[in-house]
Amino acid sequence: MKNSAKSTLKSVAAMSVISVVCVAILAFGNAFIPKYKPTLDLRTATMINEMLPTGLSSQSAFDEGYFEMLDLNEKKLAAFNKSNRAEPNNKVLAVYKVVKGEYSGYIVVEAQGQGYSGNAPISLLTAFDASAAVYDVTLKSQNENSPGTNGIFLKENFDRFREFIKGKTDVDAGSITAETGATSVYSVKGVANTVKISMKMAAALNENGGKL
Amino acid sequence: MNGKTLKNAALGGILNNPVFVLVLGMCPTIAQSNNIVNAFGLGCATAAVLVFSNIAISLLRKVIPDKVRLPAYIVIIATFVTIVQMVISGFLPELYSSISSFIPLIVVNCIILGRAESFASKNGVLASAVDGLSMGIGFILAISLLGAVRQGLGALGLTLFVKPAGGFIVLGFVMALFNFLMGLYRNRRNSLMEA
Repeated sequence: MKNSAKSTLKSVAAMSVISVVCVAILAFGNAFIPKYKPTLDLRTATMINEMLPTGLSSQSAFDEGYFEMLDLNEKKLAAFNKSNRAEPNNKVLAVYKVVKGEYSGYIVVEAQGQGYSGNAPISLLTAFDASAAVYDVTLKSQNENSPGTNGIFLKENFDRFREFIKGKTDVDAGSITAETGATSVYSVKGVANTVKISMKMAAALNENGGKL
Repeated sequence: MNGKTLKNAALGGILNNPVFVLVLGMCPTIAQSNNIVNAFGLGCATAAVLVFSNIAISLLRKVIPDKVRLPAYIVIIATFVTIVQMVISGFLPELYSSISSFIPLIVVNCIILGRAESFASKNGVLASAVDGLSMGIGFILAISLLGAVRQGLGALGLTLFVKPAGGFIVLGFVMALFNFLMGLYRNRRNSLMEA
């Protein structure tokens, strides 16, 4: 009985110490390992400048502060994404605003959505005018294209999509397929979900004076 | 330090490949080998956890009571999996988006628990580290090879092999080929030794 109690105490003590040390390691890691945050870099600024031309080169527009990244509350953004996403990878990553030039006041939402399972998410930049209607959309990254398929990211299909989406405040995968003729079901769904959550973000910001 | 143990540990990743010979870690192997980038990423994450957990468990092997060895191993492995998850999500967000649902499953990957139980708990730190590294590299090579084959077959229009059912078929054929080549190697080595 004594030996059994001693052995149990030893086991509990060992587990406790191991657990405390592991928690300490995790706390240290959490404090010092940086968390990913999207930033307004030159590549993103170039894409925004192509959709909403400033009349300057992308480098000049970037250097002269024509574009700003909105400082959204992280918790509110996470809550927004959780309540508006169509699937776990569907989320708004960042919102940028044009602060100078002809398109001053327009916002650009960077969002992602899942295409075919196992691929990196599709990432789009969607520009919205002052009434939160889509002005233009551009592709930031995708890993969907397979040779020989009639995908949404083929140039002619994506150009048709860009024309179709202008002025819209809502979208679904079926209408994108009908308009573009793209037959890559999951890619179209990923694009639709990405633009849809971007539209919801633009509407939310429009209603709340530019804040979440 | 036993040189033979070290040598066996170093070669273990090839001669006792965790995927093709020991048939461990099948769940992530099938699920994430449809794409070579995901396969390589998950392989590296698993290898990192394997090395660090082997070192930690070997260091603590004389301290952890036998009664609670499995819960202790799980806690240690889970700690390293969480650290790896933080690193991948912080530095490689696109890869993280693709493989995020399989990173927590590394905790219960049979390769890691199996090597902890059968090797790290019975051998020194250096040998355990070498074993973890060897098994990890073996896993990376196996899952990446499967990823390359499946993705290549998918690019040729044979989309069945990108799906899970096709994954099993490809795994079976590659496993058969690997074991056939290993058999040839062993027979040749034995005949050379006899000569």
